[in-house]
Amino acid sequence: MELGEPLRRGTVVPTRHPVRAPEPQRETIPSSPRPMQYAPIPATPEMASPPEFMPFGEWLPEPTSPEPSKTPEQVD
Amino acid sequence: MGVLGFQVGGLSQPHPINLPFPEPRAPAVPLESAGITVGELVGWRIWRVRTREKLLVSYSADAIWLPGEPMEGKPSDRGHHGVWAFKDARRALAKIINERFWGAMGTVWLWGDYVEHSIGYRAQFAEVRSIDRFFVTDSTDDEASVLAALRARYGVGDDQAATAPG
Repeated sequence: MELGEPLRRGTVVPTRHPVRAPEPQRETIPSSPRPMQYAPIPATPEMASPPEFMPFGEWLPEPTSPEPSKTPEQVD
Repeated sequence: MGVLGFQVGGLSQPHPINLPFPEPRAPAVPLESAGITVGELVGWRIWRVRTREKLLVSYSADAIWLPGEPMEGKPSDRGHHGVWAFKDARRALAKIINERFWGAMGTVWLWGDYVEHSIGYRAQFAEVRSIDRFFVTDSTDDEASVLAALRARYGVGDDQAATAPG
């Protein structure tokens, strides 16, 4: 070659010329993962009522009336 | 030597069918890395000159060096690509003399990726730094006036002016 044998290769950072910005990459990896967004669950009146289907029959409504007083026959 | 140059028992010799082909080359070893250098390199070049337009043109390609615009190449390890420049003025002058080439000679800034050779560089970017000599192409060209016009067009002086501090 007219310039002689190639010896080494390197990179010159210019001080008199602007450095060209690298070409934008097609895909970028965010620096930190975005936290999962959960939609708030609205508190609706329907939530206070039992669901329509209770397979195990474990739904017990809140007692609405005071416990009946014991009769004399029920004395221990 | 037997039929077609193949000897019985000579399996250590190349088979005659392989003889027309060259020996396989060793894989190219990547060049040593010189790392990162801060500040442009300076090299010497020669250009052809469009005297009417006062423009520099690459010696070996029809690439016009526009004033203020970097010339760009892609220097590979062992190819010919990239913007060429010699390390010293004597090589550039010798090329002009040996090839009976008439044109301009000067220096360039070199930066970006580059490959250093024993007597020159191939760089990714280059820009005109100085225009030092103009060798007349015909009798109608006046060396001094064309040189002055080229320097004015590219906004440069000679190598001494480019080397001077400030």
